[in-house]
Amino acid sequence: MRLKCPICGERDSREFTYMGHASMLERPAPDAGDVVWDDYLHNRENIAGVVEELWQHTEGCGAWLVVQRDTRTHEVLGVKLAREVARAG
Amino acid sequence: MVKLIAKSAAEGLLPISGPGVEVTEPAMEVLTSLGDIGGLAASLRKAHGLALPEAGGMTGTEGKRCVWFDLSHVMLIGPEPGALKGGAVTDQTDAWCRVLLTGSRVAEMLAYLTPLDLREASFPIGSAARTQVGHMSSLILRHEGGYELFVFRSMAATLVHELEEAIKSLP
Repeated sequence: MRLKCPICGERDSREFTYMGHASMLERPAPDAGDVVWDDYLHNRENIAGVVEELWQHTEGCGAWLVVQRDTRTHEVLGVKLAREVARAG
Repeated sequence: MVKLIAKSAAEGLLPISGPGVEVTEPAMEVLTSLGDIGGLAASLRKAHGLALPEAGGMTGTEGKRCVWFDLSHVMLIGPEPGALKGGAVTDQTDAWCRVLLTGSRVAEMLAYLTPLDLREASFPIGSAARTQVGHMSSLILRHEGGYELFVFRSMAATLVHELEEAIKSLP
């Protein structure tokens, strides 16, 4: 698998580290309550299809990325900088 | 007082060579990482006459270079940085082992060690990249003098060993 880092260009998967589901960017309010926080921290959909994941270019520029990937085919559909996704809300 | 003698990272380990590959240790130079906390481009130009490099690039020439390093840092190679307004300045001189690779088969040899394509078409002179070299975190530059490889200083002996093995593997 190869990922196209928006900073470095297309690179081998060895340079990247998986950092969890992209839902981690949608942090609930501090007072959102136990149920919402439990869901945010622990519960994930296990989809056979298109998922959004966080990866970090740990052996490259260090950028955190949001990668859209199809779990059935490993096809990578898009890579964005996580900070831009987070800022866009 | 005892007079201390500076010891380079790969002292006693280099040079090594093989067909089409020469590995030497360049003369020690001051290395300084610079983070931009607002206005670094202007102060770097004023103090050193250097432009901030684009991602994957470098500016300047031998003896005075500024090299892209990661998402938020560049590396000043050569001059003492002095005061740089808007720069997060960290001395890195003793932190890295640097080796210079010259010869016609360097890209071919490094293909054993790194996932990056270092051939002319994808890594021309003036390129800088962070990648893995034999599982080591590294910075690779290509300038007019050849390929220059940086790894953490503590990895110097491992790097030289990896290079020796890769040179031996060349058909």
